[in-house]
Order: sequence, then structure tokens, then C-alpha cells
Amino acid sequence: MATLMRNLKDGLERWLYRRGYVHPEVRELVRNQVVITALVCLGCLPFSGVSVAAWSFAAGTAIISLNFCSLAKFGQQITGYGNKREAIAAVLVRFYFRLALTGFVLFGLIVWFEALPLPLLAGISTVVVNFLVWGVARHAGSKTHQTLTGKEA
Amino acid sequence: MRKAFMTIFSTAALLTLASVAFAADTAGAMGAIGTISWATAIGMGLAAAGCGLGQGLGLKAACEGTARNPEAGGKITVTLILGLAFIESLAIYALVVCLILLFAHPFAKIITG
Repeated sequence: MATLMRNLKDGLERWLYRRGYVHPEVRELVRNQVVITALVCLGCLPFSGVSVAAWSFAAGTAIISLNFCSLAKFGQQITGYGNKREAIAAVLVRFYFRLALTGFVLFGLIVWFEALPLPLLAGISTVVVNFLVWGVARHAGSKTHQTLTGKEA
Repeated sequence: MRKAFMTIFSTAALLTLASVAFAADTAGAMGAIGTISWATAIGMGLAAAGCGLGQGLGLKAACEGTARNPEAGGKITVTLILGLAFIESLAIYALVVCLILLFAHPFAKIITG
């Protein structure tokens, strides 16, 4: 089981690397988000015919994951821009374009498909939960490393 | 420049007040809908502007940091992406709240009677 999980993790990492997520920590964050989205979709979609909340939650998670993947892919190249103004313009144009696209999708979900707003918001919050868990795990890891190497004192 | 800003802001303020005055004359429900529409428009505008400002400032600081210390570029990039993602999720929260107010208002039945 552990080997299967490791193989899946390595396969996902390789796939993300081929897709342009070359920075290891960024790739880790994106991988976690992809796993969360897959788990949420697998858990919620069987109930999508029964419960509106289930597919609303899955839709929120999918929307924010796509947003984050797009942001992370572009974010790796931002600091490489020579001109600061060019970098800021590129980030802002992409941000507003993504926001408009997300707004259109959310409008369709809420108005046309009558998705429930609260599960949608909960789905959107998965990215924040992912970051917090990643940050806490990293902080705990660095503390353990400090204790083991005796650099804490 | 200052004169142009003053003209733009006073025009915007007059237009806003005019809509409120017109809304007060109409029936209660229509007035409430008008107020909600204005509130969502202003709210989303402020949220988008604030988030854009935040992203721009964060990116500016990250570019300066990387230029000063290129070896720290990797760490700065991760922190920058986290910050940008947090800001972007804030903008999306604001967008959802505005859409709730406009199309899925929890007290819509009470307002419209």
C-alpha cells in the first residue's frame, strides 16, 4: 500500500514537472491541491445527484484549484522578469482575467445551476487549508530538524 | 491632475447620491434592490482594487528582494506565490459574497415582501 502511494506520488510529481512546475516547493503545494481536489471530487460526485451541497463543494474546490495551478505556473517565472513594471503588469492582467473568468463561472453556478453558496465557499477555502497545513507541517519539520542538529540553542 | 480627480470624484458622488434619491421615491423593494446593487458594485470594485494593489506591492517587494539577494530567489518565489494565492482567494470570496447578495440573498423574501 505504501509503495503504491509512493508510486502515485512520484508519478504525479513527474507529471507536474513535465507540465512546467519546476520549483520543488511550488510543485509540492500544487500536488497537494491536486490530491485534495481529486479526493473531494471522488467523495462528493457520487452524491451529486442527491445533494446540491456535494457538487457545490466539489465545484468550489475545482475552481480554486484551477486558479491556483494557473497562478503557481506563472508565479515561478515572475521574479525572473528584468523589468519590475513589466512583471507587475503581467501579474495584474492575469489576475483580473482569472477573476473575470471565475466570476463568470461562479455566476453560472449560482444563478443557472442554483449551487449553494456556503458549500461553494467551503470548497474555495480548501486552498487556504492546504497552505496552512503545508506551512504548519514545514514549520514542525524545521523545528524537528533544529532539535536533531542541536542548532536550537 | 488634481483638478481632473476632483471632477471625476464629484461626478461619481453626485451620480451615487442621485440613485439613492431616486430609489427613495420608488417602492421599498425596488429601493432595496437598487441599494444592494450599488453595494455589490462598490464592494466588488473596492475588493478588486485592493487585491490588485496588494498583489502589485507584494510583487514589487519580491522583485526588489530577488534583485538584492538572488540566492534567496527560490524562497521568495514560494512566499510570493502563497501571498498572491491568499490575495486571489480573498478577491474570489468577495466575488461570491457579491453574487450571494445579488442572486441568492438570504433575506430576499423579507425584503420583497
